[in-house]
Amino acid sequence: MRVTVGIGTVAGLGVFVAVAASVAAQRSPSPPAQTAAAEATARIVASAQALVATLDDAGRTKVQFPFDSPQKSRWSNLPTGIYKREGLRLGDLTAAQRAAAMALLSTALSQDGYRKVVEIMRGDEVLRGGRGGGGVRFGEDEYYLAFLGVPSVSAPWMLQFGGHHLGINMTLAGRQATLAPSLTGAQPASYSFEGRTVRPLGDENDRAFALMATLDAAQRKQAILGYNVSDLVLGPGQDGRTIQPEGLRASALSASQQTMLMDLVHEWAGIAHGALAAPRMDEIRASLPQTYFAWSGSTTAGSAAYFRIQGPTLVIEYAPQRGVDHIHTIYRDPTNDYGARFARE
Amino acid sequence: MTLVASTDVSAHRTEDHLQAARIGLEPDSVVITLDVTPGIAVAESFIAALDHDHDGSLSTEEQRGYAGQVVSALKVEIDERPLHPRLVSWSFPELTAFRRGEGTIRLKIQATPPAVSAGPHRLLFRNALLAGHSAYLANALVPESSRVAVTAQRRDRDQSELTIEYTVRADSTATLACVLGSLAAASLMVRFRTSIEARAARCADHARW
Repeated sequence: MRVTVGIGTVAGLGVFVAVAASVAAQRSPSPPAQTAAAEATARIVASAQALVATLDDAGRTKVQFPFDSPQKSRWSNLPTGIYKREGLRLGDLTAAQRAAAMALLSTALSQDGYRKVVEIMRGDEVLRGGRGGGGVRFGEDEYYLAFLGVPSVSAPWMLQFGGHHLGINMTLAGRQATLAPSLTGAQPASYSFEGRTVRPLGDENDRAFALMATLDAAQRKQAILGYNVSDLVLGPGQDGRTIQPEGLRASALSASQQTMLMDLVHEWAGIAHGALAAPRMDEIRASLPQTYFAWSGSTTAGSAAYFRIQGPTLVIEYAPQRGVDHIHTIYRDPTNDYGARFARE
Repeated sequence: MTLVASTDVSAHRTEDHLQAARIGLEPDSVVITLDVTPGIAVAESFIAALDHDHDGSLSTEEQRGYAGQVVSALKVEIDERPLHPRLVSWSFPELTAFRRGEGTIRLKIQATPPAVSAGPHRLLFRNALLAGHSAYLANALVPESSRVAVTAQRRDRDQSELTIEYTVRADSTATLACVLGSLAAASLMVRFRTSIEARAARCADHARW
């Protein structure tokens, strides 16, 4: 019995040392990467300050919350009228203020991330044309922006932007940043804008189906869940929960399939500014052997199918709502939602 | 600027109920959080079934009564031995949220598992609430205790039934206590035996003299 305890202790210490070394390695990007991340944060802070400079006292009061405010977890996929948001409402801003708010988002997010956000908001404008009533309001005016903590190049603070089908929660702490937890969604998932078809979450969908198409029979058997998944398991309101992973381990994927999986992950992690997303992608890549890919639904492109990517520091869910034209997705880091790890450091 | 939707849109859940169960399995407790979200099309009948006095709001007793119905529709077993789930807490939204298809009732339910030996075990969770009119989610949470490890989850097609296979490791503190106790007992036995032998030797000496 004593021998068993000894082996367990030694094994536990070994795992601890390996994980600690891995985490330390992940948290130590190269000096140029650190500089790029610090510069990105500085530009985001400057952009936030530029927005604040356009506001009057009432606006400054509306936008600013304490860092540990309950506002942190007040986000939802629901539209205004069903879910009450706080912060600056875009529809209440002057043209100059609204431009400053959108400039802040374009600074904080990657080009693709900003495009995604704008297209989700524009999709809600489509809904505004055909729906509403009963106090429910749709449209680009119904998105809210808030700061939790004062924008800083060193101290932790959070940029929160959201509305129907959108919840961007970006916590920054010096050269570190996380988007977890964030929500993207789309309804309609496809619409026309100035003569072209827009699919806000089209790349997520297409990359996932492309990856599924490369799986062989044995891999599919592992990846495909034998049951229906009708919505997000860890959506809004499910902070702090970690479900048991299921599906196909990424270690069972070929190198090219692993690249496809990482490209799929990048659709979420890469919403943030590139310099801030890069270390996060490195972190996710480092734990790829312990990451799972699970699928529920048809594997024929164009179908409505749920998928989940889950690793030690990652949860991504993509959940069509009874059809291909209404999508909910969630992006989480069970070890660092709302920058909990940054605050500890 | 022109915006045109390519298809019809349907904003929220309609005729069915979404029931999402998340099950936390620990050595000395089973905690189930269950979210129930009725669809728009069934909202009025759902409200009528809850709001017995038709005053347009749900009293604590009306909430408790419905929550009790939910709990009684659940079946929880470990190794085919039934557990007795009990309601710990609940929250209900405003009735208007139900009418929009986005009102979620949140229940926390707990059960005490029987003492189980180290080794493999099986928890069965079955949700018969609003059967045939629900979409279900059922998931095991990663156990907080390192003594419990989920090894597999099996569900029926609609997730109204979930079987969690798991293993339980021996409690290391109990094991350590057992080891220390055994050592102490062995030590006492050695000392007792030495004492007996010494007495026997002294007796032998007395006998010789």
